[in-house]
Amino acid sequence: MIRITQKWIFAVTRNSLVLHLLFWALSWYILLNIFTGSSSFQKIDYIYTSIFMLTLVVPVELNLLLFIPRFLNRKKYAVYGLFFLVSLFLFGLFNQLLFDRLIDFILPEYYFISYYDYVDLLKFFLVFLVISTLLHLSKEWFELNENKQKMILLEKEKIDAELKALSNQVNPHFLFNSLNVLYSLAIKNEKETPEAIIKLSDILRYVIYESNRETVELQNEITLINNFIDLQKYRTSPDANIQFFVEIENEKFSVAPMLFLPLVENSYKHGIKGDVGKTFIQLKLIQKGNEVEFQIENNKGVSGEPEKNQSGGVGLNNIRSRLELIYPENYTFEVKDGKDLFSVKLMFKI
Amino acid sequence: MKTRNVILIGIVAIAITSCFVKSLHPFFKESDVEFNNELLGTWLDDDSATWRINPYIFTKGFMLGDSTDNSYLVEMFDDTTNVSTFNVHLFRLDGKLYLDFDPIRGDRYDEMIDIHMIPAHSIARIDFVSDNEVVIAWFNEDWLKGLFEENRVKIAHEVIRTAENSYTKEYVLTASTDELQKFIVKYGSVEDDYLCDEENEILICTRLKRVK
Repeated sequence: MIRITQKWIFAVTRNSLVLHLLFWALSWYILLNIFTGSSSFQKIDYIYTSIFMLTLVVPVELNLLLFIPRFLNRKKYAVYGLFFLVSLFLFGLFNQLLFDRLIDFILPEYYFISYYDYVDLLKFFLVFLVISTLLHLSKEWFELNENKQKMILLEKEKIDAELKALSNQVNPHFLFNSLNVLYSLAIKNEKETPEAIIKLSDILRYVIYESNRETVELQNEITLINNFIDLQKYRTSPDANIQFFVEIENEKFSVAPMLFLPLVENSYKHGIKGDVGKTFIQLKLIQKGNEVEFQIENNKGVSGEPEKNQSGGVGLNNIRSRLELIYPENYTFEVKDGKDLFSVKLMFKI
Repeated sequence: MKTRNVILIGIVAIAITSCFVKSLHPFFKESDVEFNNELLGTWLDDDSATWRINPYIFTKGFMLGDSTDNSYLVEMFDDTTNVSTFNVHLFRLDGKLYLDFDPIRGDRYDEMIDIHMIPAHSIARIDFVSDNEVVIAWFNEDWLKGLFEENRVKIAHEVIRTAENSYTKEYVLTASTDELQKFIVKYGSVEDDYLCDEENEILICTRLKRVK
């Protein structure tokens, strides 16, 4: 019940027409009480109040629907002031003329006079114009604050997502595995040891420092992926079929950092496993114009940890969140988790 | 009938017979007041009542002497020699002349009754037809009463029921002088030639002929 009421109140306060009608209904009732000398209202009081209010409705609505949006909101204060004053004086005069003369033609059977002198009429009109303007500006101020709050929330979500992405970037398992690889190479005194150390160093340097930027060059992301693949060769089976196809027009094309590596890592973790044969990962990165497409496919591994499936990882969700923040409505992110094949297709436009 | 009712207005202040429009506030402002010597003298009206009209002189205060505010002292005598006294102001509104009748409380009545009485103003148009004839036309309360009862007029007023006749409603205007004047100018501006027209339901007319 409370939720229905809250929804109703929200709908009403957002509906401009409803607010206007409420304002005029309340004004009519207040004016009726002001204009009626006694506590009981007569037909003549309703008629007088209604006609009086019509002369107020026009300048107030003109102010709200035309003068404020066209002049005040565009900081044309002098022009706004001029229109405000002109409508104030004109409609005050019209009200006086209406009740002094015109009403006898509109309602010949009724006897009205202009009960207020011109200065008093101007006070009425001024009060209504000022109050309606203040109410309108208050509404705009509340809406502005609401939007600011939403912006702050979005900004916070963005930061949270980026923090999560950052925390996932330095995957401790990857670091652990890589250090194990380096240890194995070192104790065997393999000649590839320095090269492996350098590749790991390059990867870590890139992940820790370069990925803090808003954008990086596409070539740098390709180098990162290649370094990762090279490093993984030391711990995966030589039979593993790893293919990385690159077709780009512009090496310096700017992209958000660390969108691709988590997918590659994901494929290695779930697809390429030391104890599974006929494993493969196929990567394809295409950049054309302002569009980038990245596809990765891997075999489905026999997972020793059945509760962790490849499509349900936190890493994929983080990428999705980052894409939403960085390329809103300009990306697609498709995940296909088949029986034997797992694939991800990522496409975004700058 | 008309003069007797005027006298009754003077006696009872707020009239018990509805005839003329009555107001708590005067119908004139000081700036509207005029003085015409042609109104001074003794007159006889359609009911053969005598009107004696002199300048109104009042005492400003102890040892301050007498003064006049350009108004008239009107004394009306009916057949039974009852005298009613009014302080009357001649004033102009929108080019037309009017009279405001303000009864002067005399000492004829019991003081207890007198202190309960609130004087009411009535208003009449005046047309100086010639040196020896004027037309005076009061605003007809029945006309205004009809408008009130049909809810067709908006002007501040109170409805009272008198002790003598609780079934009859009397209307007393309580509007300000400004409002009264606007109303009179808008709805009471009848041309001089039609003041006594039989089809004119707004005004009740009497003619005064000079005696001396």
